[in-house]
Amino acid sequence: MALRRSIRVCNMYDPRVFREPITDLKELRKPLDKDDERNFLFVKAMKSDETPTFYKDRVIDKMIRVCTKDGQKETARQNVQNALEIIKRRQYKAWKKAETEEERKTIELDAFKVAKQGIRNCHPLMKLQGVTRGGTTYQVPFPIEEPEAEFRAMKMMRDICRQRAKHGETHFKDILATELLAASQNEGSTIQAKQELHKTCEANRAYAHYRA
Amino acid sequence: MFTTSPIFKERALARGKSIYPKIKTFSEILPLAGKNRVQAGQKQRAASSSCTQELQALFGCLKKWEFDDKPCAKQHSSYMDCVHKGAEEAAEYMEAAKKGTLGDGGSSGKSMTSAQFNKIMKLFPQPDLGQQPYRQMKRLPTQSYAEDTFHRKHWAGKRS
Repeated sequence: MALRRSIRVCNMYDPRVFREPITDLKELRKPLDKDDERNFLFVKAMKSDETPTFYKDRVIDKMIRVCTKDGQKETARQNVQNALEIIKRRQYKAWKKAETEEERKTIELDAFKVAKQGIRNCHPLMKLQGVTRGGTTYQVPFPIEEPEAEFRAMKMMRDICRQRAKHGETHFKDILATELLAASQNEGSTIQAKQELHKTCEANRAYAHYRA
Repeated sequence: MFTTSPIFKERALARGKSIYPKIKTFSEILPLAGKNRVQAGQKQRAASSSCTQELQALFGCLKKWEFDDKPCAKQHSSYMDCVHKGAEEAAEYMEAAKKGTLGDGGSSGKSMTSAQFNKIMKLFPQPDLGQQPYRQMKRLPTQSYAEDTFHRKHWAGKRS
């Protein structure tokens, strides 16, 4: 109990002299208040994923975090951003190739929107979790909330892409771009994996009452 | 020549038992009264529903559309609503159990919850229930106080 109640009071930034940085662009452009402590105190270094840029996106940032391996976030960021660039190029090529105006309207040129739609389409409805009853572990379908579904969609996609990128078969960025594009059209291996998961959940629906 | 009558051979006396009828004495180990607590030992939780109907509807829809979830948004949302409602009720129950609220707040007027019952039993405990452990003694009546022959000195029992 004593351990739980104790709060960490100090990290590398002494809380007495360091304050949080401003990461919102609109806030940043305004002058500081007269009684703001940041006028005379130090400000912590901004986190690398809090850069106030127009292309900063919550979902993409989460994707980068999910794709990070061995703490190499910069590499993961390069991979994801290159995948977005590939999507943009492919979409633009298709847009240029399109002849009629209606065809052009159907092609989404914003790579961020394509990626987000792709990830959105991969959200699973449930998860399978082992529950031990009477010495036997059952795979029980559990409901999941939106953030977890998002995470699981990303993880599924990442695992599939890593599997494909093994032994230099393809590059991670290429396969990620392909998967995201396919998923935005509701097809591709990630969507298939999601449907497989749904199928397994349906097969295990008899165990649903073990959810307690 | 035999010393024992053959009629005793198969009888109880021959097998070393008393021929007198067995006397059974009643001794009250535990007082004949209910406990002060129900569900002792297990975690208190609300009677949760597992939203089976909604789940069946969702799986039916999934099966119909070959496990694509896009046309099943309605079923999914109703299932999640049910899950949220269940979680809310459970949280409410736990809150009431923690606080020990009496009245029909926690149980929606149907019957008393076990938490409420425990609370009432705590306020008005059973008389003459005694103390636990009821029968265990540190010293048997035949043993002396001084020597702890059977190492019962440190037992969790009555001082006797």
